[in-house]
Amino acid sequence: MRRVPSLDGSLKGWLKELQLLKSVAAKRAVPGHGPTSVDWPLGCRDLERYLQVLLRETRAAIAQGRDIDAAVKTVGLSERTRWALFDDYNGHNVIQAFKEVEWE
Amino acid sequence: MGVTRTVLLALAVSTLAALGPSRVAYADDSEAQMRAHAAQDEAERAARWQQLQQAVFGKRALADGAGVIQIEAPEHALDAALVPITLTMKSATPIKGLYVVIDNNPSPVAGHFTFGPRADPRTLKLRVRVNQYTFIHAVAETVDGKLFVSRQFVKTSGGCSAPVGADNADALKDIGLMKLHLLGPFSPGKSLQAQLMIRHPNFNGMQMDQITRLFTPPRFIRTIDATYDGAPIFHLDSDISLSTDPVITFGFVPDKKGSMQLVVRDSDNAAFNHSFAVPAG
Repeated sequence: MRRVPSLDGSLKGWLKELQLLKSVAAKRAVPGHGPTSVDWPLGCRDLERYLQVLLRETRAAIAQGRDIDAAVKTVGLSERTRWALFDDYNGHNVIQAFKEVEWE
Repeated sequence: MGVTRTVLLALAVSTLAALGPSRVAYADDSEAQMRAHAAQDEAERAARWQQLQQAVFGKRALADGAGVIQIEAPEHALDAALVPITLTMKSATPIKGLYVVIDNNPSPVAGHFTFGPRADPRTLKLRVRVNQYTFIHAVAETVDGKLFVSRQFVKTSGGCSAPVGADNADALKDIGLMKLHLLGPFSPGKSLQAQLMIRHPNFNGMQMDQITRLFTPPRFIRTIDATYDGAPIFHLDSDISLSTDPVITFGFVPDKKGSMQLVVRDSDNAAFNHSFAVPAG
């Protein structure tokens, strides 16, 4: 919550797990960062949106023939004002996403 | 390459031992102390490069590479296990080879390219692992045997031991799979950039399985040969510093419609062959 997600594993894997978690009939969830508990599944809306932007824009960058170092500078920027620590993690996230998506 | 590697590894160990435990700059260090540390770091880096230079190039002179070879790498790398570097070369005397040396990596010579008659070595891109703050040196060799060096400092750490993925079995599943993208329109005799992607975990022996706590045995790409209708584009002697699933962008000159052949050999003596039509499809 509030701080930008840090992607270390699979982007598509995370999105898939999120679908599964959203189907759990829980009213509240305890996030790793931020408030002690949030409404569920509403509480994961920002996270899911960020991951989808990352996936969509990384795919678009690859389709346009952009290189990994160029993609790092452009992908996800619409999310910049919505998260703490964005500049510290977004570039790293783009690299993780890029190396996964370029093999699709 | 085997002998050089052993020499360099021995050198790496002896240098680390000589340097002793690394220092940490504390917040209460005075400015004078910090300047002293910085000066000492500079001296250590210079000594390191001098040793490496001697191990790789012997007594051969290295000229300033300004105007001949340029290396671009992020000053602060975002992912230590995937640091993109771009080499730009320009020379009246044709360039026959390129060395990429990551000074403070456990095995510093990340790659040695030898260019063939079908190569256009003006732009080359690689992705490497960087273990700690280091200079990356790029050395171009012209056909008359002259060497030109340029360097870039990269701040990042932990790239060598960074895990390959969530699962080792997964990382080996598609080993040897390749893709080739031509990054421009084909025209006979005209230089064309190509991006080669290779599925290979490039295990370097420093990655720990997070569940068993055992180190994954090394298995990494040793050589890549790219030819066009049988004529060499490049030969690469590589090492443990190439990133997982290496991606190499290079220039070549297809004289006519034909095919690019790629042969990748790894440290388990596995060979992977692929052939790509140029232009594609």
